[in-house]
Amino acid sequence: MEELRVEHLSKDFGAIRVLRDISFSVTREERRVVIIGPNGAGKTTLFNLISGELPSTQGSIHLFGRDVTKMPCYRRTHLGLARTFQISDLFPQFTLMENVLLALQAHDSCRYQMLRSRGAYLHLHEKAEDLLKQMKLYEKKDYPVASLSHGETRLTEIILGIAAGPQILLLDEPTSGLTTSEGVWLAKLIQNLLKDITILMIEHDMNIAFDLADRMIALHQGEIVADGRPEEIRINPRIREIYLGKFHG
Amino acid sequence: MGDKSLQWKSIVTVGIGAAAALAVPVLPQYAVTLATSIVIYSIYVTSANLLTGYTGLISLGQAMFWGSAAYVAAILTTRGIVTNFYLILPIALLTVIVLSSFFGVLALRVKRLYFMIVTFAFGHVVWCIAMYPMQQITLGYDGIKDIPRPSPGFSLSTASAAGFYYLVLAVAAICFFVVHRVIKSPFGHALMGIRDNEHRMIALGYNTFTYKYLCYMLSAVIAGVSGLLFAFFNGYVNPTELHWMWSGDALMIMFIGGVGSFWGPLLGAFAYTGLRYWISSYTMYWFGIEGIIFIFVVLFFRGGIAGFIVNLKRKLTYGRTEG
Repeated sequence: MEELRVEHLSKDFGAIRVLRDISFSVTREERRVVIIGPNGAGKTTLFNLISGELPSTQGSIHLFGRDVTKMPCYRRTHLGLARTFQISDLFPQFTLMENVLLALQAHDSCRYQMLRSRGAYLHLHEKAEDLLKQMKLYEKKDYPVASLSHGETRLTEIILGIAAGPQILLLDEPTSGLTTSEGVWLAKLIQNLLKDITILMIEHDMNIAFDLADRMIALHQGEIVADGRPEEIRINPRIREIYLGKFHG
Repeated sequence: MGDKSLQWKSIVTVGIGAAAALAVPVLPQYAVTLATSIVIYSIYVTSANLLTGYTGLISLGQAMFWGSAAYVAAILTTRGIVTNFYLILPIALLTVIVLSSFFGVLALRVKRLYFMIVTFAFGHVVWCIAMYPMQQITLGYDGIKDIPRPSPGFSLSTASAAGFYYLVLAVAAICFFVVHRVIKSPFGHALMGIRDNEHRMIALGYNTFTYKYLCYMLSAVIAGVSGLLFAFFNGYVNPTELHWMWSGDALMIMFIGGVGSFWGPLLGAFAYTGLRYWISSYTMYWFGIEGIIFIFVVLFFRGGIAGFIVNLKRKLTYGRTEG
């Protein structure tokens, strides 16, 4: 089944065309799509268009068969789309538990409840505790997020992304700023824990990218330059040129 | 310290506070009058706190709702159109809901500074309308005098300072209870999430406009309740009740008491009214001194009186301060 389809998508910032005629689709069978590309390739902008944080200039986006090109960001999440951010974007003054509860209640029928204490919604608390246990962060549940380590905040980003049980998750450089060993650990976690979610992931670490990917899409200067299985991408001359050229130049 | 003992502690604290509030009428009449105005102001500032302290929306149009409700109450009672308290209240609040639902849609299209300026402009428009086109009804600058106090029943005579004080206290208790429930609810937590990181709230799936809009109207209703009480308390309303300066005062009292703190508005109203009463008996330059106090609080007591108390408690418990 086709979950996401992007057709002839373009994005201009003023006179600068950041994304040019991007088309691809992701089916349910391809669980791990990794988007690679050098800095400034337009990867995060592509995520912002898919999630709805930025309006597209041209083209269309379909989610689960529905045209969502004009749909506001928050409504797309209710269709089953979630995202994380490259630079952790949390609620630093709230505790870890409160962060997770906020993510959970966004998709719960109690979200507009004004007169009943949130403490009374036990199912939310149980679900939040389960998530934190699963991610091995339960001990830190009462810590303000501002006091967590960088690795823990990266993990919290992912928890907020998966809290509502999305079908598609956009992971924007989940390993950014992590040490190599932490990055590998996080990649394993993504592989093991998020089996039932289709993941579109931006990744700079090529080892992790090739390890995780079922399919890779390479962006360069706002265009798709390669799209295929990891073994095809590995030997693609254009990719070698972009990356090796960058390393040697 | 477990949750239970904490709960007991807060029950005891609120109990003592309530007992003290109920005992106010044993004091001389001027003190009862002062206490009445403190309670009314604290409702008004609580309404602004819901908007600013909990949702992060700084409005300079809060007086529009206080003043509109006050005018509705004044016009209805002085002209003898409606004299039943339980009819005046819903009519005044309906007026405020209509106003806030209209202005809210427009003002909430913009953010931060722009929101503040738009609310300021709306407030000013309403003030001008009351002053000039509606002069026949509002009596312009002269204001409406001799507003009779309606009786809420329960054999409570609102003619006496003590009786009216109890009416105000009862209404305030309901308002505080509602606001307390709201800030503890899923809705309230979402408001605080919007205050801290609206962008992420949208990405999490919140329709943040609806939250802000509902909060704006709720805040307007609470401001309306306080304005209505004020009209009966003061017996006189004039256009200053609608003026943006009174909206600014709400922010100032909130800063003095503690922004985003539940008891902040009450503490702020207490300090503001008390100091004004005390200082104005020595000098007529109260406004200047008010400004100095405000600067002092903003510079040295960022969390206002409430923040100061919390820090002091923490210092006494752990031997250190934070923030």
